[in-house]
Amino acid sequence: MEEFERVSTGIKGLDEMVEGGLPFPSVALVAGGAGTGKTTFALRFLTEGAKKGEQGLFFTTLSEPTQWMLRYTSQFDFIDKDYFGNEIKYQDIGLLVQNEGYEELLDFIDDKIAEVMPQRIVIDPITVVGSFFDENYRSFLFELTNLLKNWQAVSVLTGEVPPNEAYPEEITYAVDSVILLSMLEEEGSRRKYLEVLKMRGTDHTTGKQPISITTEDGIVVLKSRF
Amino acid sequence: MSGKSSNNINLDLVKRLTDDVCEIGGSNIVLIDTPTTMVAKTNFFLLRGLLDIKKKKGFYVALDRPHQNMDYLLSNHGIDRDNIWYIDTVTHISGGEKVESRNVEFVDMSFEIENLMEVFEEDGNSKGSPSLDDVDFILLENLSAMMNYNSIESIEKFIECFDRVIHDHEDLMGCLVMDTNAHENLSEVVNGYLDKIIDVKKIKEEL
Repeated sequence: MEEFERVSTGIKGLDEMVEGGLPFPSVALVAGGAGTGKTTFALRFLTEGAKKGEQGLFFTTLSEPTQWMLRYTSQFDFIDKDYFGNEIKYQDIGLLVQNEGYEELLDFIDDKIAEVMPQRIVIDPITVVGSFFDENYRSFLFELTNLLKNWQAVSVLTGEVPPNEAYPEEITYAVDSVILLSMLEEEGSRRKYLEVLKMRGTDHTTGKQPISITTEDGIVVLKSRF
Repeated sequence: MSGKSSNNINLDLVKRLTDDVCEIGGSNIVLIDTPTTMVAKTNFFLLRGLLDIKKKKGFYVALDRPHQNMDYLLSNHGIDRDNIWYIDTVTHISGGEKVESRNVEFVDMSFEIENLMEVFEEDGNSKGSPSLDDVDFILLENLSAMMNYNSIESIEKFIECFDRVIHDHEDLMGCLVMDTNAHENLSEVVNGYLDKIIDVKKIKEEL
């Protein structure tokens, strides 16, 4: 029986929970509410690849210019700004999401991936697309995940979880892995957690694991410290 | 990180890889050892160099992903595909319509890889592909993908046959791509047939 090749997430403590990393190739959803660390997760994942000489491609659906991203990332010690434009290509697809149909958007993403040939891909956040494509959203997600699975890469899609839902259900059925980030109020303070909800072909740790977000490492699964 | 941009490193890597591969000349087999995450890219870099820089003609044997992926990559990067012919062993086990273009032959041999070289034994075929006397290389995409469907004994039989075919043609190079660290048992089997090993990771460090 052939073992999956796996790529390290770069998140301290997470690889140990999932037999060494995310299966290569595969598509993962990292979902959570506002401020739970989704973009930090995605950046840590890309920089981990960049350190190893792997090519990353970051699609933003938010129309944020590169310098905004750089300003945001400058707080983190693990990010080398020189990666951007080189090992990590940054691509704004916000205007396409707003102005084009989903088939045009898929074609653009496919072409960009063929041009850059990344081993790691991020789309942050994918859920923005839902508010523009409405009735075509499920078709778009289905075709997008198929497209991503065709490439020899590990893709991380980030998704905002609506306040009254546990996770964005319309995406979870199509992806290979689902990692939930959450923030719970306990004893008067907010604590952050990471939970691997699903990972195909992987004997993963279940249950919510406490995390912290540090400037040095980004997301850290706390039990890995002990 | 070096001062070079990743685009320049990629171009240098294409050139260096192709030079190193072509150095072996015809009638020889070279293994291109590359990390699993780089296998698709290495195949593309090799084809880019062989077709575009060296102006070689050859066969690409798709063992892992349908040949359409590589064809799309080459087309997207503006590489002339007149001198490449595909042998696709993968598409028949996936869904969808199999469109047989001028330069592709679909073969149903994923599970009996030891017979794959029969495809080349005919002198050209109905799709208008050339005979092995008229091409410069056969590139096997991700050799370790064979392990999904075949025993190690079957793969060894295939390699024996591949070796015989390559050595019977004085201008023909055999190129194998795989990650030897991820598949040590396969690597041991293949080692005895190789004339040269190129380590992509090492080349990248040097660039």
